[in-house]
Amino acid sequence: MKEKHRYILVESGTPVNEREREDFSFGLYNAMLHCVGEAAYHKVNPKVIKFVTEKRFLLKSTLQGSGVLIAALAMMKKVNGRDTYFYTLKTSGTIKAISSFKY
Amino acid sequence: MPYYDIVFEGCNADEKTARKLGFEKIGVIPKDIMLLDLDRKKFGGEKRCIASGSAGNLSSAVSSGVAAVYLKEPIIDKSLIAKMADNSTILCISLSEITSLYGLKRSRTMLKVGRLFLYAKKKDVPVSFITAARSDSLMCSHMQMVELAKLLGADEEYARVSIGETNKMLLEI
Repeated sequence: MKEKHRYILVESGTPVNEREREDFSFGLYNAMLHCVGEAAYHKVNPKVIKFVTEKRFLLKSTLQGSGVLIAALAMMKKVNGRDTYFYTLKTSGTIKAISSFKY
Repeated sequence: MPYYDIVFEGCNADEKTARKLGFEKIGVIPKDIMLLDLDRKKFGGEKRCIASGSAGNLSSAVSSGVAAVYLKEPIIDKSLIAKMADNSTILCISLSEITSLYGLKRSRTMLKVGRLFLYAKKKDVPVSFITAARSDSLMCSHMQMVELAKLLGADEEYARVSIGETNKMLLEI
């Protein structure tokens, strides 16, 4: 059976330049693991798909884990030792629909 | 459904940010609504405000018909909750208290706030979820607020009504 996904447009409090993106993604997964817990992490299965701008990026998760992911993003205040914060701006089932977000 | 949030002065609560985060309006304390700290100051009969303090100090304010109450310590005071139910006083739950903490402290606070919320809901006290953020980093989008409310035990519809209609009522008192 095909697993359904949810795409979430996230805004970070601090800009992430191109060189830092891989480290940032790894740090984000670690911070997420801390918030969600090892037992539930596989249900969320977060993945940074792409950076739209320096501050905005697309996060992919499983459909059933998207709620936990959104709550966890509200709790995450540090990535790789750097203070930051995350706002979830829009969620969608397709990347195409999410790119229509204006603000 | 339009959503509303309340934050403290100093946060970026302009129209653009409100739209970006999915809110119709972000109210600011004390510009849009007053917050009275009854642990520091005696209650003077104000009604259009949120009274905050410990449960013991809030009792007289609830009896006098204050619009909303914010408990500094998330402890269930059965007599206060009963009075709030009789007077239809709104219970404000601050989500920044959860997002600003870390680790075990956060888990414990979530447990306490969750119990308080479920007890208030059982007694038909209207509950309002607000971020009450003191900085931009503690602000949330409406989606994050709904999911945090769900973590505290609210169902999706209740959370949406709370962030939508109850918060609107708070800003219009």
